[in-house]
Amino acid sequence: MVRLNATWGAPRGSVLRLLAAVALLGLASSAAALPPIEADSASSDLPAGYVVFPKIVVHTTGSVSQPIAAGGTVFDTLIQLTNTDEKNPINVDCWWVNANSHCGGTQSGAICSSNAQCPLGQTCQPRWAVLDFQIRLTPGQPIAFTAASGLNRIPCDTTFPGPGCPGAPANKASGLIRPVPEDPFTGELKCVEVDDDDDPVPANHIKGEATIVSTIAQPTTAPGVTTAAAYNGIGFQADEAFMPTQVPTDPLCLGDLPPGTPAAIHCNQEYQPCPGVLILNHFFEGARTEIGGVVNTELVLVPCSEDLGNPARSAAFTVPAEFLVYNEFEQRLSTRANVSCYRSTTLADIDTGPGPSGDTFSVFAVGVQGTIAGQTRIRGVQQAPAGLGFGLLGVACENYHDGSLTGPILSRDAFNLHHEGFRAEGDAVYLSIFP
Amino acid sequence: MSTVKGLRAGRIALVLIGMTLTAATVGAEERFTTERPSSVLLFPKVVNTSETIIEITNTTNLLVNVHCFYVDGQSFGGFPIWDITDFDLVLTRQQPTHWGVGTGRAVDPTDKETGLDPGLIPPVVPGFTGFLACIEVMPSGEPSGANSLKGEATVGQVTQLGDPANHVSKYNAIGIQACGQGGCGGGGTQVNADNVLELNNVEYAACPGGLLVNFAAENGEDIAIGPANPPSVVSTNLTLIPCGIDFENLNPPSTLLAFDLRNEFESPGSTEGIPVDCWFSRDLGDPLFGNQTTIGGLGSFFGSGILRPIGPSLPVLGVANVLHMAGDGSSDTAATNLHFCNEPAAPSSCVEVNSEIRLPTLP
Repeated sequence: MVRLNATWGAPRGSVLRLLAAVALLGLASSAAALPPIEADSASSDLPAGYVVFPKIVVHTTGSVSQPIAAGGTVFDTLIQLTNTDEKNPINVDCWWVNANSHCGGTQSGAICSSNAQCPLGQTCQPRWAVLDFQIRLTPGQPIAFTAASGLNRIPCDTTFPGPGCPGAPANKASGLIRPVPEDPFTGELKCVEVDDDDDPVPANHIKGEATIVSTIAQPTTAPGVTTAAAYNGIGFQADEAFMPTQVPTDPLCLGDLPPGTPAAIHCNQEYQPCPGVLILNHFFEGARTEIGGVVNTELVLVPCSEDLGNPARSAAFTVPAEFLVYNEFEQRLSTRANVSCYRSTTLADIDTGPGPSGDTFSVFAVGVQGTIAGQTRIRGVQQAPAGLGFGLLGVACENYHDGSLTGPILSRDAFNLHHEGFRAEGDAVYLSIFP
Repeated sequence: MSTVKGLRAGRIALVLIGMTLTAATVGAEERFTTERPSSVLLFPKVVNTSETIIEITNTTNLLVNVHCFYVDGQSFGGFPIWDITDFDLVLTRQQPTHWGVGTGRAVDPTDKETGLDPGLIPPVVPGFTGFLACIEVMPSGEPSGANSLKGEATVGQVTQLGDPANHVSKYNAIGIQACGQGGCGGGGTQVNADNVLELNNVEYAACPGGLLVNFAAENGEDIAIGPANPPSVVSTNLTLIPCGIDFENLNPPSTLLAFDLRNEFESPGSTEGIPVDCWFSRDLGDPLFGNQTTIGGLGSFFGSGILRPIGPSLPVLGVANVLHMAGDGSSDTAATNLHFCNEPAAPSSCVEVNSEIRLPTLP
């Protein structure tokens, strides 16, 4: 962890030196060949060929291992997916990325979030795994499903109960959406537009939203609290003009292939690169805003690069993230934290460790910053293993508590982070085993 | 403060950085955006019926001036009020700021709003429903195309446990990027000093040809809440504003929309002639949608549609705010930014439209 002292701005001499550097940089960038990628990055407001939902949460009354009793708080995530191609059906391959931790680090160990939940002698360890499914959507078709239940048949499948669809059975949907592999579940959903052979295609017809809801399981006399927080799936548009020069071997290239990629690897399909910097505007932890209540922010960060065919490789994959935190006095502090596969954390826990202990000393605490609102700029720092990049994606959720941060949550919201620049070094998403 | 001392050098830096970015981002898309720093920010849903907190941030290392306009979107007797209140902000490098629209923000270092006060921000009137537009400008007031601004709006209120009015939702401001020589979003070198912001892919990005809307059938069951807390219900509110504003002549913009939709069974529907005068905020159960978006009319739990202008009308910009209500009467709202439709070919037919934002003439 690194903390820098607050600064009120650089002296004028530094500004002039910066000007000289900028001028040189400008000349250099003009002279250098531009990277062979679009000068734009992932976006959450356009249809795309590869879409990531970084935060999926499930915990229902039907949990086999930890069912929610009446009066408890139930979580589920509603996913809405649409084929924006109104002329043609599309095939979509999706992966649930399971970021649950288990006692002892084995599948048979209980799902846990801290060591205190595990038997004596066992620790709570991340266990990264994926579960995939394939669906076919008819032209313009919207569907929706909950992560807890999935869909065992797609509307417009000829066996789906209902009025049927135009052009069926030739123009039919097919496939099934598996529910998340575990309940409770924390993780991601990733979807790619593919052809009939499951190869990614240069097309951009997927759009989607995720809504995380919670409510109190009935029957109960406890006060009702229902929350809903929605964000848009983060899309990477495929380069529709991309033609592989050699036989593609696997990865989706987000931009270029990352440095250190073996020469035998060639892009299967090129997509927009990952953002260079993620920008999060937030209220500082424990702030009391004009909305009411006391607010804190949960941040989910996931690596852009992933090896979906090799869970062990992805589980061991860590991207150091750097956080530059500005308050309303233009003062800057910074901190760093690792993002291993998937990181869901309150802002205060980024630099003070899990749990409420020490949160008031965090660089994200309202008492430390002295202002209500802040800006945090986040970027992955190069330390990834060769062949995988160090880009990051994320979404943020705000919790509004009653009375204090230890009080019950009265309402939640979610929003997409802003992006700035793009990562010219590239990231890669491997769909099968890395050679 | 060093930020102030470095202003003169900062202007030179702006030029150099602009040149650098232009060279580095040749081929950048020309577009409206909800997640990139921009030169114009639009907050389509700003209300003082509950509370709305506006957050705006300068994402650059140079001081930025901003000129903002509140537009009261209420109508009386079928005519928009179109009351406009404007104010100025000054944001130092990387400075975030915020204010509640019901209280505004004074320039008072001793008040409870700590941080550098960005300028005198007036409160809106009680019951205000409308939108906010903020434009990056030079210190002298002319438009600036540095694409420095980002913003969010948080709408709602929370009081205490058990209050059914505890609702909070948040959306990103819609950004209009200024264009550089290589495309929009590069550095804003094409922005001129006149008071008309041309949304034409030359000066600023052109308006998107349509909006893609994923929605749950109005008054249908919430399939995520329902199993644990039945009976549940979901309701979607759409807030829309025309993509084009005339602040100089105080002409409320109006447009006509078509909403072409499909349900989960690919069954098409269409509603023509949805009027958007200045500011539009309706639930999908409103008669204007022709009962085609309700659980009874849609024929499935979910649908998707494209909002397009009819004929030469202006496209719209907007956000969706969805109410999720559980069987015990508790509820919450969740807002999402609507996806832009930029596919010009049929049947999407989302053709970008040139428009303008006309600022008051500088004295």
